[in-house]
Amino acid sequence: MTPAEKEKWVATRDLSPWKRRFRIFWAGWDTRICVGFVTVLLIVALLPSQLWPESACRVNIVLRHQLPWIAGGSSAHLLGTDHLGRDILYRLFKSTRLTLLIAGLATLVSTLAGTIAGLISGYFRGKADVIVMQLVDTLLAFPTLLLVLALVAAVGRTLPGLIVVLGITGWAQYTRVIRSVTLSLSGVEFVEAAKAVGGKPFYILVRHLLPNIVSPIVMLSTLGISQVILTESVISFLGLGPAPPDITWGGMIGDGRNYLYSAWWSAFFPGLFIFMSVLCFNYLGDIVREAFDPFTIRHVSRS
Amino acid sequence: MATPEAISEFRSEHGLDRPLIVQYLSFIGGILRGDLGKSVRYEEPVLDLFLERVSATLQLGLAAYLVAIVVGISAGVYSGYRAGSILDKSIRVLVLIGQAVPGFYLGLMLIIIFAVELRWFPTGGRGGFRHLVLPTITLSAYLTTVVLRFTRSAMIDVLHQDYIRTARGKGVPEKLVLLRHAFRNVLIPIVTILGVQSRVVLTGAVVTETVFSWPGIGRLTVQAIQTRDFPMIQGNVFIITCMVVFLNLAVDLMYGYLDPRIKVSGAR
Repeated sequence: MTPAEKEKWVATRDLSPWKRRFRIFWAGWDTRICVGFVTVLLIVALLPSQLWPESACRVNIVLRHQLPWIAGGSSAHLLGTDHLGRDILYRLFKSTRLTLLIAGLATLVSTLAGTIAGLISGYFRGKADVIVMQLVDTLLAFPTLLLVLALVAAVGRTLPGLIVVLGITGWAQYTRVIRSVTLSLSGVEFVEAAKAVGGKPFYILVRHLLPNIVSPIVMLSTLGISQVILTESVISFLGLGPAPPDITWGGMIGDGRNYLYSAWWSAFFPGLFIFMSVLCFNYLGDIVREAFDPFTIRHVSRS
Repeated sequence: MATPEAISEFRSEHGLDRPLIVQYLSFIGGILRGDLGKSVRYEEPVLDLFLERVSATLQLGLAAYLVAIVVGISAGVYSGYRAGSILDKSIRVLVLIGQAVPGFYLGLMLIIIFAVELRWFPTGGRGGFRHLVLPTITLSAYLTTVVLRFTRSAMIDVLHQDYIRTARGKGVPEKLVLLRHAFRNVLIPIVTILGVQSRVVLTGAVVTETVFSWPGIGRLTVQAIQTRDFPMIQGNVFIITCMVVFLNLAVDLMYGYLDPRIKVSGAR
């Protein structure tokens, strides 16, 4: 630590924990770009579909494979049209909503399941711990993508089915981390004290342990979203995603895949969305991890 | 349309009319005898079909491992040794990009650029060396970034150790410091990562093989899923999982050789 860095560290040391974390988090321009991109995605996902001309989503075979405007096509279709003459920009906006919905809900399912299992296994130990950790080890031994594919094939192409499958195949890595944090916290004085004054396990878990494991949860789920987006895109790409007319980014690439010779844009743009959002969520996850680390100086020193 | 008779005949032929627990026990019993059932689509034993295709996947997987090891370790060692330099920073940007690109998207873009536009490589299928190039790049991209990241951070850790300073202090040439003192200790975490990543390589093969029409077990599994060939799906998932578990075990056993401080219990 250079003297200048130490000075900055001391400057943020006396802030309240959340203020300090936020300041570190918000310090770099990279964070703001990523947050900006995610915000734009969220706004797009929440826009009502009436904003779009109805002709954009209609199948119109005459207009198939129109060049995107940026590659010299007409300005009526900024990103061109697909093999059925549907506007790609419109389809992208439509698929953003569904992709984010699936990714968000699936991450929520695995975060909840992973946190509960991790808390129980780390706090009660004994038999519960053995059972949970056996499950976790078994699940982590499986090649996740194959397991998801096989389960989706068995459950069928329904939206709730897809979300649940993505959720229950992803909780194991949360449990691992949450369990180890809970284990180390269980021996700390404030938990012992809560036990000593007669606190019930549920009360101790929710009021004393949960607030202290928020940071790994936030970090894991930010990184988890990008994993779910990737896995979901593979499933949809292979044709096992939500059934038409519902569409996700991966599904659009799957559609465009057969026309690589004549219309590269129908696969290129949806992939760009996947790439950008995974990049942003990965990056944000890393920065969140740094912001929650009490000794971080990198971002503060940069501002 | 299938008549009710045909349906019930199919069900009894594949044993689907038996209680679930009996079906499960007979599946387990079959595994113990090396029998994974019969594919519905091909009407052939699952194991035979699997063994027919497994060499193609092994070829692709080994090629990807080779590229990842050579590129990942050399770039990682450099990046860690010259941490903070411009090249190191560009390598780290590439790593960020490599970790965010979905494998199938990378494969498709490679096809558009190098197969459709430039016509340097074929778009798919298995054949000579030229057929292997694009699928290998696709499959190894993610693995390379993982190896690179770990090599880099391990390298930085090791270079701060006392014994490196000692080696430099007693006048060992810098090349030997890197090779003999630093690199050997960097190898241990890398071997771990390579073992853990076998999972990623095998699932990555599923996607890569589909994009490049590579006739391996990944494509076989995807086709089985798309045609709802359930004996085939469960057989493939079972064997691939076994492969991953055994690879990880093999890596655990290798520690003893790489790091004499670690003894596998029972060994002397």
